[in-house]
Amino acid sequence: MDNLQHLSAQSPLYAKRDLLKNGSGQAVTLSLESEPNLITLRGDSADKSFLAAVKNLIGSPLPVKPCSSQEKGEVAALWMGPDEWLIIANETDSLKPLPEMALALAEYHCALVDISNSKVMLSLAGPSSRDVLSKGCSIDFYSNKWRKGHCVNSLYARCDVTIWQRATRDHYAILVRNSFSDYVSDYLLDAALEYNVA
Amino acid sequence: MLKIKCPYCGDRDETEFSYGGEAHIERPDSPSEVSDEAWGAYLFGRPNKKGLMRERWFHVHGCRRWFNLLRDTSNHTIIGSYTALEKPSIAELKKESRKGGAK
Ligand SMILES: [Zn+2]
Repeated sequence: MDNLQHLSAQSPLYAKRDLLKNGSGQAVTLSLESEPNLITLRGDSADKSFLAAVKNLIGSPLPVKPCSSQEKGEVAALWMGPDEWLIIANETDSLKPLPEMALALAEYHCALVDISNSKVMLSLAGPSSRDVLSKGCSIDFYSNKWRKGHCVNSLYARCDVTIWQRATRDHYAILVRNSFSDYVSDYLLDAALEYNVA
Repeated sequence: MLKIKCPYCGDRDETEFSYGGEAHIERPDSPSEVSDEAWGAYLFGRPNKKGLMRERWFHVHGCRRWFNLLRDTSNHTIIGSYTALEKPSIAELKKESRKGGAK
């Protein structure tokens, strides 16, 4: 197996990165985020000691307010449901290995599942990014709920996505399952086309 | 298209939800001891009311939680929604919706 060691997981959109670059312009920029490590955490949000133990473990607090996120250093926690979070780590070594994390939380009724490489993370930025989002999703992106860190699970072009605001304005991350990523990125490129015409 | 208020996520389009029939149906504690009629009524008997009805909905494309909704089946008016663990009275839900803040 030694000769396979140089292989690493590759995004299903890897071959499309130039297409995304060519489809980007002044108004809308589309790009592929580096493959983040993703963990689904289920647990009791009413249990203060559980929340504290997780914060101690991952560095970031867990958000308990619907559709919000918390971030500390390279680790972010997104609210997915009243007892579910998505933990995103940009660097592999910013979190302990999963078995160690599970051991640290062993006394709590909770579940940790590694879902890295199950989704693609796209970055959408630029002054027209909200219009591009509005073309495929019924959520009001001009509402004052949309601040840095706001995140929703919804449908974009009929596909399940997580949309997460990354900056004070005009920068979003879109998480989409691998098998839908080709279609969703095509849709985004098409939606962005009219705004990027010079 | 209905606008449905998930008790967690707030107002979303109907397309994000799926319908789960009448709410608060209780499964008999000891199924082997109830009569066939009672078991049949539990499985299939639904009043299918015209008017205010408590129904189950699933926010399948959002927070993926089941919750309950009070809806008028004759004109689609949604009075309010509440989590699966609650059962507020109709008066409470109406009061809540008049405040403009049905939860
Ligand atoms: Zn919801």
